[in-house]
Parts: sequence; C-alpha cells; structure tokens
Amino acid sequence: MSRFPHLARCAAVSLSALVIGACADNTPTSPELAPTDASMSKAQELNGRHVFHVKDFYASSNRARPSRGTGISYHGGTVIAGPAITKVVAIYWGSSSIYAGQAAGTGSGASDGTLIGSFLRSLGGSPYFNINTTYYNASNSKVLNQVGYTSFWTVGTECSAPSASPTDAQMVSLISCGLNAGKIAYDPNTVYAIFTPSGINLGGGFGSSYCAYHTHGASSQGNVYYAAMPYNQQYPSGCTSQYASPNADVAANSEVNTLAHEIEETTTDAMGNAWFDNRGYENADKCAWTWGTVQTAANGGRYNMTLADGNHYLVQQNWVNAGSGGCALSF
Amino acid sequence: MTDMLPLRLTLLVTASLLTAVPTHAQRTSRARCDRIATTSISLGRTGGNIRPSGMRIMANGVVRDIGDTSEPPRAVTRVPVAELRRIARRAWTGPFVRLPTAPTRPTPNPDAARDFIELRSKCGSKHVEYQGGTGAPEFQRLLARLDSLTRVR
Repeated sequence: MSRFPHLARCAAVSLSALVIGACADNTPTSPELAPTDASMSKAQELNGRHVFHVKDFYASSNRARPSRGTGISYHGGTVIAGPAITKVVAIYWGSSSIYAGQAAGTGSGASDGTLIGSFLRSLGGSPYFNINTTYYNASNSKVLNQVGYTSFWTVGTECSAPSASPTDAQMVSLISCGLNAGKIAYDPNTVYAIFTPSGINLGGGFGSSYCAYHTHGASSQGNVYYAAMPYNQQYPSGCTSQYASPNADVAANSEVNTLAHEIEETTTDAMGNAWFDNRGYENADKCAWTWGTVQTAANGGRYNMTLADGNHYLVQQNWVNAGSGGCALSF
Repeated sequence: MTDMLPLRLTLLVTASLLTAVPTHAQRTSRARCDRIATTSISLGRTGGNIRPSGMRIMANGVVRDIGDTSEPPRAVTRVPVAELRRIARRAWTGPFVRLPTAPTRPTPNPDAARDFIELRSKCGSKHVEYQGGTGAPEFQRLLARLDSLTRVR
C-alpha cells in the first residue's frame, strides 16, 4: 500500500470535515435577512442618534446603485411636456384673506401681490425648475423650464365657502363653480392650486398624513389637475422647515415649499402613472425635507435659493433624472 | 505501516481541529446573535410630504423619539422587556418578515405618509411600510399592538 493514496484519503477526510463544519456554521436565517434584501440596514446611527431613513436615505441609496438607472422610472403616463408648459391658477378659498398682499376678486398672475404669487412668477426659468427638464413623455418630449402663472381667484360669495374639512369632490366642485362663473379659465395643463386658511383640514388628513397633495378630477369642463394646499404654518413641526423665514412672510414662505413639491409632481406625474420610483415615490417625494446648501439671510432667516424676483426662498430639493440620479437644487 | 501511524494521527487531529474551529465560531456567532433579545422596534410615519416622525423601542424597553419633528413628551418612556420580546418573537417568526418592504406603485395619495415598522437586531433588520390602513393584516395587527403598548394613538 503506497503512502500517497492514504494521504489523499486523509486529506479528503479533512476537507470533508471542513465542509461539514462550514455547512454547520450556517445559522438558519430567513430570506428577509439576506444581505441583498432591499429592506436591510436602512436604519443608520449617526452620533448615537437614529437617522430616519426616509426620502434622503432613499435618495442616497438610489445614488449608490447607478446600475439601476437614475433612480426613477417612466411608466408611460401623462407628463406636462413640451410644447405644453405647466400653468398655475391660484385659488384662495376662505372667508377672509389668507396671505399678506392677497387681493379680492380675480386677477392675472402678474397682479397677485402675495409672496406666493411672486414665487409662481419666478419659478419658471429658474435653475431649480430646470431639474424637471430631465423628465420626458412617451414621445420623448422633455418638460420645459417654464411655468405660467395665469391668474388668481379669491373666492367670494359666488361659490360655497370651505367646510371644516373639504373633500376632493368639494374641491373639484369649487373649480367647476369658478369655471362656470368665469372666475378662472379652463386649461388642461393647469395646476389649480387651492389654498385654504388656518383651521381648514383640506382633504381630511392635513397635518397628520400630509402637508399638501396633488391629484386630478373631472370638472364641468374636463379633467383638471389640482393641488390641495392647506395652511402649512398651522403645523410648524410637521409641515414647515422650522427655520426662521428669510423674508417677512413666514406662512407664505412655508407654503411655497410644498407648492413647489406639488407643481413638480404634477408636471412629471400628472395622473399618477408617469414618473415614480420602485417604492412609488414621485420626484419631489424622493427629496422632501432636504435642503441642500442653506444660507442665512440678513434677517437671520434661512434660504437655499434666490429667484428672479430677488426674494430668498427655502424650498426642498428635487430629484434629477439624469446620470445616476440624486437630489439637487439646480440643474 | 507502523511508521505511518504518527502521520495518520496528525492528520486526524488536524481534521478534528479544523472541524472544531468553525463549530466554535458558530456557537460564538449564535451567542452574539440573539435575534429576539437584541431586537429594537421602530414605528412611525415616513414618505409623502409631511416630515417624518416616530419612535424606537430599544431592546431594553426604553422608548426614544426618532425623526425630525418635535413631538410632545411621550406618556410611555419604557415598555416591559418581556412584552417587547413576545412581540419581537412573533414578528420574526410570523408572516411579518415575509411582507414586502413597500408598495412598488404609487399609493392612492403619494403625498400622504406611510406607517412603518422596522425591526433591528444584531442578526439583521426588516422594514415594512404601508399607507394608512392599507397594510397587510399582520402589519396592522403588529402596528396596533405597538400602538397599544406605547399609547401612541
């Protein structure tokens, strides 16, 4: 008997022992604990504090996966893309003035004296709104960096005053009332932004579930996109940055943040069937409550952009649908 | 043949040692990785366009605020560890761990926040989120139990 086969046999035994040992070391784990599970390890600790892995976490995690594209996908639905542009009609729905500088009756967007009006007039053409030009429709037409602030309407007695908690049906009814009364004009690419005063729970979940939202409905003259814009300053902890305002109108300054959010989402996902990610988040959802580089104004307020009107604003970042994707303040 | 005995013995000892090392490592690993005892549970709201908020029940029962909103002081600052472990055991061994992390399509109102529950232990973690009231029964049951325990809602 030669020594070699015996050595080989012993080596095989040792190898088997190793394999058995290695197999025995596999602690049973559920598939959910596999490292490839998308739900793994989202929570992070930073300086001993639990970092809430919400939009900014998903943003960074998506950035870390360039092989999966830009982090947001087109699903074939409606985008307000060129040659059309996104237009806005502001509807102030309350028994008294909601924001400083608000006029009664109706007027062109150019004559709206509120900070919200000034923001809407300056949003189009900004490096910030240019982020939306990274989105396109099924014809490969890109979103244009334009926003048309068409008109405002301070609702008077011609239509019903808001209830304590207006429903979507009541919001669509309000738009139809305004259209029928000639207070506002119908346009299929317009976002009808409905603003209400403090104390009105617009849509029923304000402050507990959302700070604003966008959707669509069937008005008397056709499909309308609308944004429910309750008074964000009513819930400072949940619906505002809690920073000092960079101008004299903290309520309007808080409101333009969620207004920008809804306009961006309506533009790129008007009917809820166009641009969203693999978790169902639309572009602005992915970057909500992230500010980028924040500066301090002379009055101590915080801002991250200065628009063409010369005003400072603090507005959330938006998702850039280019490269490997990411939240940004400009493109 | 007799001169081969020491070699055979050496190989056997080596094999035994090689077998023993991973077994020991396995025991050590298991000791370090007690999934139930090391589980902390977070719950709250996430997503949409409202600021996130929530709480985390640490493995020792202490309740901490998480998220970026200022919440009022909590009525419950500590929960019984035994109850926490009962909940953790059910969560890790029941249908909860097989639930998908999140919906893959927009929810009825994408701007509305989602409820979430997250288990974290030294053996891994599991995160599940649903928009209010739309969660799977096991998610809703677990959320209700945690809400009851922490007296959130």
